[in-house]
Amino acid sequence: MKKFILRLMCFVVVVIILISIGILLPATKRESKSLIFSKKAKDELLSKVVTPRIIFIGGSNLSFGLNSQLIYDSLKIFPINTGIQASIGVIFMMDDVLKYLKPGDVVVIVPEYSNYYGRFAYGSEELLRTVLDLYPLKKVELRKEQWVNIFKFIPKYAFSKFNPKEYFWVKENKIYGVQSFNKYGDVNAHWKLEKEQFEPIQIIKGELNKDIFIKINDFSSILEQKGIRCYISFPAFQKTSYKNCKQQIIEIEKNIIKYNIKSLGTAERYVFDDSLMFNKPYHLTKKGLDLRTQFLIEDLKVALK
Amino acid sequence: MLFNSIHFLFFLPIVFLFYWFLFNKDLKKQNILLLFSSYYFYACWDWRFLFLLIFSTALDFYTGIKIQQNSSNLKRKIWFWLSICTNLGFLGVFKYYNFFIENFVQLFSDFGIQINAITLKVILPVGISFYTFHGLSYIIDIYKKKIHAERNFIDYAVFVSFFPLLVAGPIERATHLLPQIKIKRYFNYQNAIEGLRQILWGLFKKVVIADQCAEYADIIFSNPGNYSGSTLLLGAFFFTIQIYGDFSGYSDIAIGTAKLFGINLLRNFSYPYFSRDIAEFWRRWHISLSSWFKDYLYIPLGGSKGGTSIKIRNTIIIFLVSGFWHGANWTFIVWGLLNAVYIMPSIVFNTNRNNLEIVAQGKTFPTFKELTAVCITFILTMFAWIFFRAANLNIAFVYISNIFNESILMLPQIRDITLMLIIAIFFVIEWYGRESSYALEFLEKKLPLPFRWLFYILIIASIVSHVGSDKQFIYFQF
Repeated sequence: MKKFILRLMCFVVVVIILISIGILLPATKRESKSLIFSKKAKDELLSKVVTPRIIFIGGSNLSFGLNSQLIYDSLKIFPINTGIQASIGVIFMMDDVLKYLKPGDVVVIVPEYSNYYGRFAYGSEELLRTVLDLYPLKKVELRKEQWVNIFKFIPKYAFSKFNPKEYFWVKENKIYGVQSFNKYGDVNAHWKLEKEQFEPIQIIKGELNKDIFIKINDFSSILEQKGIRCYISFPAFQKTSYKNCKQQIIEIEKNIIKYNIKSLGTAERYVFDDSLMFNKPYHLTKKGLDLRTQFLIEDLKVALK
Repeated sequence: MLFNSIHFLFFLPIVFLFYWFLFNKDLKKQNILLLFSSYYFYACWDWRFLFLLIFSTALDFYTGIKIQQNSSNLKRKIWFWLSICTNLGFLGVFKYYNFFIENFVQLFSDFGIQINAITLKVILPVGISFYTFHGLSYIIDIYKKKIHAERNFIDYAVFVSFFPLLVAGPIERATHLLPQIKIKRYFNYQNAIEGLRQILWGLFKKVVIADQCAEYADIIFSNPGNYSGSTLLLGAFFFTIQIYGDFSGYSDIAIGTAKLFGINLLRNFSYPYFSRDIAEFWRRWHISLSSWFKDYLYIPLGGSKGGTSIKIRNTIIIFLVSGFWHGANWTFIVWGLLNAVYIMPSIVFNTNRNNLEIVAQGKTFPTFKELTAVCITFILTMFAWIFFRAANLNIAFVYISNIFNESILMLPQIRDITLMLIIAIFFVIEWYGRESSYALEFLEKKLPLPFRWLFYILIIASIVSHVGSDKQFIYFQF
């Protein structure tokens, strides 16, 4: 038994050393060309653009779903689209943006529906990569629930640093690359591309997580105290997926009202025909995102009166 | 709790440490620990069904004693049938009730008679087919006086509920597992190392092979009308690999885990895709179920004794029941019947025991004849899996008819070179280890320690690089 335990411990130590080295190594070439690294440019926008601003918080429903130029032209307020990927989790998105906000700003939170269900809002692998690749050796404060969610991805993250494919034969993805964005933070690399085939969402996984509404409400209260207006809105969503998940989305809307969170529009208003979706149930084509932006402008005009 | 979950990663070492360090000196305490760990493991899915498991265990334990105690044949029969009917009753209600009702209603409506029958909204308790079969074999063996009834409830409950095999087998026999539970177990270094290695290989099969193939198989099978013949063929190939990786991976993890506790479980797979005919395939695929059906159904029906017609009848029954055991759907029944059709020539011409030894035993490469036979068997099996995987018979027939058109000559719409390469490497390793009980067993003899560790680290890296999918094992639904 002693021999077994000793040998097993030795093996585990070797694995832990490798994982530690992996964590300490800088972001790989492939990773530094990925969508996540666009956060640096978005952070710079947040720190440099002067108030008043409209700051959009959410995942790829925003990055692949807004034409911020239209917002600027219509409202004459500089929009900043912080959307990258939903799986970073809306909790991190809110916590992270807080330090950049100033009185006079307008914040619009647009979480993907999965953020309201299960543990999705606490983040996933992309959150781990955001934290470790973008802020290496810097202490980033995460909540306990977030660590619980991302813990299992640590070995995967660390071992990926030893994968030759991460360093060689790397080409930047044309749509999901660090250069895919315009000056407001919108992905515009797909604006001229044809729509792609994809499967609709059948169901939103997990149970409704009421804690998320409480956290959004708390965030909203903090902003109100600082003189910042905060609203929640609904992601652009494919019609077929909406039909499949309608009951779950109605539950979300009910809870938004229950927790007194100010909202822009309704979920149904932001449902778009399948022909307007690009490559995922949350991603719009150029035509679709222009339409979505128009709806958002109308809702913002009413709210900001 | 899934074997491929973080939860299990903590659960297993904790039980292991308690088992060997805290309760090492007391067999009774070890068994109690195993029982409670198993119940906890099971309750992680749905604690409500734990009561069903405990009830089923208690019933078989009690009736087993009653069958043995009674000298009167009638009383023995009554207790025997009470247990059999109750066990099959649970299975019938949870697994087959809706199937029979729906088909009954359909049949009558075909004759113009409308019936309002009530269907049940029940979820299938995980592992019910497996633990029911444990109980059945135990009761039948007592009734046939092959074994004595167990008098210690804890020991018997561990036999039924031992967590590595509880939800998807291997389907154990009381004659094999109960004696191991009853005697003091000693830690064996070599056995434990083997166990860990087998767990690692099982995880690789499940996470890297099966789950990756599932990504494509699921897409293609969900909408077969959208794909070319060649893509559909590829989809069938992916499912063929998926189901093997998934189920044999589960069995490897189960057997490996049991070894850590000093218990040897029955072997469940023996490189079935290297079989040269269908009879050999069925001696190598889900061995514990095949042998269960052989011992408790095929032989009581008369087995191979009697004329060819009896053999044919019994073979059809076996495959029909085997298909139905997998699920209440016509797809499984057709899958079973198709396998019966495949095996029929070897039954008729008495060639079903032609290939008993390992293919190309002692050689590096197979002969051309062997390779051809292996490929033909693989293709036949792949074709049958289409029925197994399809949601209903309609889809299965559409799937097959769409394969055989001119688009079969086109390049597949899905091309994943990396996955194909990984599958190829996987088969090379399996081929290389085909004379061992699991593929990585040969490592100990062939590679020095540093290379072995490097190999393990590579496997671990490939497993963790697929973390996040958390896909269930296919056989949990049965």
